[in-house]
Amino acid sequence: MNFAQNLSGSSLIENCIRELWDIVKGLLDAKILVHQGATVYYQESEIEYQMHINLGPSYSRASVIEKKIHSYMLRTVCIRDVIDVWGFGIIRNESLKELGIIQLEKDVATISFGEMLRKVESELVVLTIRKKLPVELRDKLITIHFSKNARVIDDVKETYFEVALDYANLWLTSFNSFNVKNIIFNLNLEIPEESIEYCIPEPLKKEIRMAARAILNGSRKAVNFLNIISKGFLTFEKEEMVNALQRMIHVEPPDRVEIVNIIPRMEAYEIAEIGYPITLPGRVTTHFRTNIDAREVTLRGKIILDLNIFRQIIRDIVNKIEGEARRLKII
Amino acid sequence: MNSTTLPSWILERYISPWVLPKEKIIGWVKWQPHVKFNHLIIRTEADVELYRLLNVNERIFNTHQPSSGLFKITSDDIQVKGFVGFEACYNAIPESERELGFVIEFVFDDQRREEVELVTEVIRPIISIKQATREIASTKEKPSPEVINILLENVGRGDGRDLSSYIETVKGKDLQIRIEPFEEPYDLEQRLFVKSNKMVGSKIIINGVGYGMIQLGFEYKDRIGNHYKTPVTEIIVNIEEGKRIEVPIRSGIKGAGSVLSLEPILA
Repeated sequence: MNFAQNLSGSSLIENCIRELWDIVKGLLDAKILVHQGATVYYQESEIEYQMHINLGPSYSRASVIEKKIHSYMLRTVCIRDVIDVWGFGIIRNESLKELGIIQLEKDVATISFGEMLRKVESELVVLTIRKKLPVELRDKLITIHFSKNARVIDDVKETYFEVALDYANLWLTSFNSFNVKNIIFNLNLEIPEESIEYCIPEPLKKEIRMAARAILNGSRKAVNFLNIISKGFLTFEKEEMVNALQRMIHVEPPDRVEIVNIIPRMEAYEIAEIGYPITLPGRVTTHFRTNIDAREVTLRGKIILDLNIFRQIIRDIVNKIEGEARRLKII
Repeated sequence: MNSTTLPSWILERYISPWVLPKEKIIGWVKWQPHVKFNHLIIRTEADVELYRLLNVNERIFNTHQPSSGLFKITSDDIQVKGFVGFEACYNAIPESERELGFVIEFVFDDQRREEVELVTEVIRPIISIKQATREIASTKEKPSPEVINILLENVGRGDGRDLSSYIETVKGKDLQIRIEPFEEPYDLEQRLFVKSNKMVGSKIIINGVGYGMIQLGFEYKDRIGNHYKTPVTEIIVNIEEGKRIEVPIRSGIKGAGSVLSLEPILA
């Protein structure tokens, strides 16, 4: 591994992991660091380091390892900006926290390698440190682009995204594994009111206009009719609608992009001319999540919306509204 | 698009398929890491700013101008063999949609050269006036001029938004002409549901008597806030009655219309 040399490429990176680097260097010099991996949590802007430390049989440690580890590491090592630290021995499963080897106070983690050598009986220790990652550093390591203007082809609307990792020499040669997780895209589908009108058949539109004007004359029947419309459209927010909306959204590659959730939302509208309040489907917010492995370096994908399915969803709601109004003999 | 034949040792080439002007463009090329070359050159066009190179030593930026459209990267400056990428943006507002090319040229020790071409499309809204009222007339027989009806058409693939009208030039020395915003309730025959019952529009205010001409146009934006203007339309103004005249402008956009407006936001 060529960690120090690689670090010099960016002072920002160097500053972020300097304290960890001191530990890594000590463990590397002692030849007991057998694996190190890192995972960046993009959304949270955090990084998780995992080290596999081979302590060897307990009887040989004092004579072999302690001589190799720098003296400062045998005292307590402090690391700042830590969110969590945990570790255990393999195969005896000793908890490093319970043994007092690692501690977390506020955001400062302390690790005592001297205690580790003395108290852990297992030959291998897995130590994980989760740290804050400055957003500027995250954005230096990972670049993301999400198209700002979707493209419409026939009845399909599509947009794309790209993820690329930079500083390949840092993460590819310095870590045995490096992943970026929780890259989350938030897609807002705005539903213009015209698109709702587009799905309402002309005779029903006429009924709505008549009812709107009748409201001005105090017609109770007209108020009931408009209430049925509002209630009918409210089904857009119901759980079963999420499944229907899921059919509208396709992602590529399907095994790499996960739809985390779909949230349909209503918005307040008015009936034109009379200003009578009504709620209509307003937007659909969808969260997508993807991860990337360092070996891939890049990831690209597409999000495709089938507008016909969306129109059908709205038409189904409109049909139910019409059916309900007829059943109650309002129209 | 990327029409050139690829050398067999190129594993992948990619560029953002389409972008708005000034939007981030990401591109990359991957090749078999064992392929040895002397250096590579990234070339692009005028008005393109290449502001980040991926997997390349930072010092390259100290020796090149980001706006020069040319980067020479030696094999040793590639951090991990087999991949180079870039971030760029097209800083001009093109008159029409256009292709934008990037070339990554590999130069070998024997001076042999192999090129990889990457082409993206710069899209934009292109709104033009398709039909417009030709004349504003106020005569003794018919003192109130009719509403100015303007049909706009978007022939671009970018979404146009925040449309507002403006007067480019006024000819007619006895006429004072300006545009003012106005609000009025919607008509049920025109629209069924509205966000607000107040329709915000523009009207032309004319004071004076005389004969003249105005050039009327529209300003609009794309999804990242780039500003555009439509070509102007000429409207004859013929005012025989000397009082303040107000002429509302009604406009509607045809084309590139969509049932769903998609606004992607990165969380």
